Amino acid sequence: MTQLVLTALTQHELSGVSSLLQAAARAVGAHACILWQTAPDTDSTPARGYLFVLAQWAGADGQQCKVRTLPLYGSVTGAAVLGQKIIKVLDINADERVFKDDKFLSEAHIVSMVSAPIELRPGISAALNLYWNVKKRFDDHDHRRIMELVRLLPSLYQTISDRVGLKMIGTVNDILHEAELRAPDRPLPKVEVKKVIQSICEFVTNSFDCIETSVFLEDPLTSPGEFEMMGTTWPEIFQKPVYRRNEGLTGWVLNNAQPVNIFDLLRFNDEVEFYRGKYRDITWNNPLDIESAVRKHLSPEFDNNDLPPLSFIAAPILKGTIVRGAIRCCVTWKAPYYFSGVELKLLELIASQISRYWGNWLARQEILEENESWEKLVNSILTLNKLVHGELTKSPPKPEQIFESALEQTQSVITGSDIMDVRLYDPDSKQLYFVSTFGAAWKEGDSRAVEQRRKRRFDVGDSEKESAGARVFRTGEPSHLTDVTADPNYSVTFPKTKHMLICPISVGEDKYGVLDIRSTQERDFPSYAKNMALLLAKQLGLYWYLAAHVGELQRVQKEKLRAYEDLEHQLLNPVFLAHARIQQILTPQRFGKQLEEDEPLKTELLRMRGICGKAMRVTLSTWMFVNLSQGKAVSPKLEQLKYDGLIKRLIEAAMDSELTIDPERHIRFEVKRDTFDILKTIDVRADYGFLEQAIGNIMDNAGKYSSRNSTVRIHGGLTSTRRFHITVSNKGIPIRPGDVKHCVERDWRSDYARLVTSEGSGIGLYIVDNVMRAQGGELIITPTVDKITEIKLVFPQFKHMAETA
Amino acid sequence: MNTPRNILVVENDFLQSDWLVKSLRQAFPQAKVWQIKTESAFRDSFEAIAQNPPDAIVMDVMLQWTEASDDIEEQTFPKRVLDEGPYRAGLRCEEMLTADGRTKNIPMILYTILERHDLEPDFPDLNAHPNVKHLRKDSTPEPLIQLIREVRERALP
Repeated sequence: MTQLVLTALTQHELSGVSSLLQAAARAVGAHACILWQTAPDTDSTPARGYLFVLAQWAGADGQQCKVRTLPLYGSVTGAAVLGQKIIKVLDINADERVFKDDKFLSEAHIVSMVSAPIELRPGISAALNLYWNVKKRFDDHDHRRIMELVRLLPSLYQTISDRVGLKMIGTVNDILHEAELRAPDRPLPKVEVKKVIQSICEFVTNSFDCIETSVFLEDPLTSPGEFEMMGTTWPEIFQKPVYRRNEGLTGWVLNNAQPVNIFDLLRFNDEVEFYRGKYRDITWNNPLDIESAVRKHLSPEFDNNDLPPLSFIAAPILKGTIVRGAIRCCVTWKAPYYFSGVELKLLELIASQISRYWGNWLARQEILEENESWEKLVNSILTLNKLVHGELTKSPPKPEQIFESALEQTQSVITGSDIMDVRLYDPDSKQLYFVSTFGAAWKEGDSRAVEQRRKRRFDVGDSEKESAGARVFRTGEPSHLTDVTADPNYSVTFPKTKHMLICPISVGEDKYGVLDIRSTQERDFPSYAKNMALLLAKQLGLYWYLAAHVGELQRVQKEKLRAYEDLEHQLLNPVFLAHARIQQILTPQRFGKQLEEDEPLKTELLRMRGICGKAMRVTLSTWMFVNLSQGKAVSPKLEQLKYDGLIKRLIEAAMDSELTIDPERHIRFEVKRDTFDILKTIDVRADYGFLEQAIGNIMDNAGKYSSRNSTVRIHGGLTSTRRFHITVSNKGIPIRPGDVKHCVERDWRSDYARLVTSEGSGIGLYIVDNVMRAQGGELIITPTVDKITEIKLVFPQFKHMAETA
Repeated sequence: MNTPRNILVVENDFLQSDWLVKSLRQAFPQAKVWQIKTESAFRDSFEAIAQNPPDAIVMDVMLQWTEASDDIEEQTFPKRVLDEGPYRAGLRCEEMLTADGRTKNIPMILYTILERHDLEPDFPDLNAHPNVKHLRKDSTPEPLIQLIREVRERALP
């Protein structure tokens, strides 16, 4: 008996019960021992009841019992179970009670036997049969021993079962815990998760000594409704990698969220009514020919013999009441040769452990997906902002293009979105209308169907028939229709739509329309999608607002620019006339002699000419500035620069500049005429008006920025690249190397320039640069060297006179 | 007697100041009419102004800080002048005068091309200030001459 207890305490697998039987047999000197159990949960009709081998020990060199079942009625064992009494058979050949056990006993050369009823677990009747191959004489000692065995065996069997159960729970927990620790802050890749589940399947298979353990799990994030095979120990290629609800026994478990225990699959169809009473509408059509399939993988001992019960258990993997998967086990090939309710309970516990792990994995996966989605959203908004920036510079901006791009971005950001649109509100008709659409579904059907779909309108009001979108627009509250058919006010545009997000497009209290995002997929939008959609809709509202206001600003600005144009014309005309008249007075042929005699008057007139010239340049600069600001090119009228014409203009500009500078500063202007002689031999083209403008601006600057007692020199010639240039050089405030590129920028003035003048808009050189480029030339500004600053007007390539001729 | 003896003109534009100074000298032949051309020169002359306060100061608003010169890189400049530029230099001069007890009562005329409302954001107390008047530049000197007479009369005890 001590040996019996020690044996029980050292078992780690359920099949250890066979060792227990060995110890029991040895305790009474029996040659073999079989634990028979009444088939559970089958037909209650006694005539159909039977016993099956739960476990056996066939002796040191004995053969396994080839008979796996015995009739409950007519066998010695059945009589012991039914009568709840120990039956001893001294000579099986001479005892009539054993005729139904005959074949098995004679093949095993059994002479004597004892069958003792035993209650392995509450409500489970069994018989402990001990066999001798010699004629056994039973005495009181034997009887007491057998009674002790009957009393002890259920507890010892329970001990083995508990030890195995505890080990299974502990080991599965260790496997999952280790997997969690491997990636504590992110989900393992699914392929790694499959390896974890596979190791659980292998462990369960070993613990139960069964042929198959498989786990199926649903990933609602990627394939809702599909239960993917995540691990299996089925020894062949698994034929059904994905289960759906109501497909076979596993499908029944997935659909009903209940465990299933089928005692013997081979008898399923015989007992189908019994099973349907227990498991509503359960069906199984033996798709694999389970007997043939199993025989291939059972040990040789079962060749040509009766098979043990092809037992099947499956438990749902639940998160609350939601079925996330199932775990199933099939056919034990060692004792105990079937899955009892205890094994099923164990499987349910393992299912619960897997559920917790899978739930965590899904949660992490969802967080990862959400993080990725938010990241995509940020990038999308950056992309949109860039697009908006470009769009807002157009006149007028077109927000529809922004909407279309936003819808395209939405698809990449919100998982599951496949039909999208923007509806805007028409205050005249009080209706929402489609303005931008995205998704293949919008293009389905012939052109008439597409057009009709696009032309749908949705009344906004307080009526009870108001569509879901109109309601969102009116209330300003976003809506998530998890099942569009459940909303009585949902107005069908696309019959395939299953889920829908509708968010108001608004800024503050101003409402413009709604953003619609539909999904035709099984999976609903992720929980965070609504906030993302709302954010996108808010962005769209902002874009719409900006586009509308920028458009209005552009219109106002255009009107202002036109007004400025008009003012410039009005200003330019009188100044031009005044300048012209002063020129007339200064012309020697008319008043020249008188003027020579009245030097102060002449000086004053020259000064007035200078002032008028400056006013004309400023006005023309303003006109050019307005044109350039509107993106209009300034068009030159190119003609040949003649020596006389250029010199006259340069001298006049120099005189005008000199006379409008404070004489106390003693700044002189000097035109080096001989350097322009080159013009007599080459054909340089320029616009005289532009040239006056450029020369005037540069000389004006030279006057303002020159030091006292210095001379501004104007000379011409050819550059090293043999282009004609006019250069103005002066000594005064410097142009630093870093300032050169800024000099031609609009509105830029150097710090020094701001210190030595009280005026200046910062557009002088910007205008010069533009007029030079308009003529095909360029403005070259050289940083100050040895206190001398040079500004060069360089003209395009010239031709020699001879070539022109 | 309301004839001023000492009038200071702070004006940097030669085309403005030459006829303005000439006109004031003709209108007030007994007065010393003198000119300062830049903001830095005004600051340099401040002590002299404080010790011998003019009867009126004609102050332009947009003033250059200094005259152009090729050694400008060797000079240093007040940060405020660099930040604000020349556009309200006359108001900075006005602040100096008002802040000093010796000069705060000198009548001053902001003589500028700018309108009153252009100045108000930078000089919100312009209307309420007892010694500072605004006069928009005109093509004739008479309005300025008249205003100098008025402020001079008001300043007499």
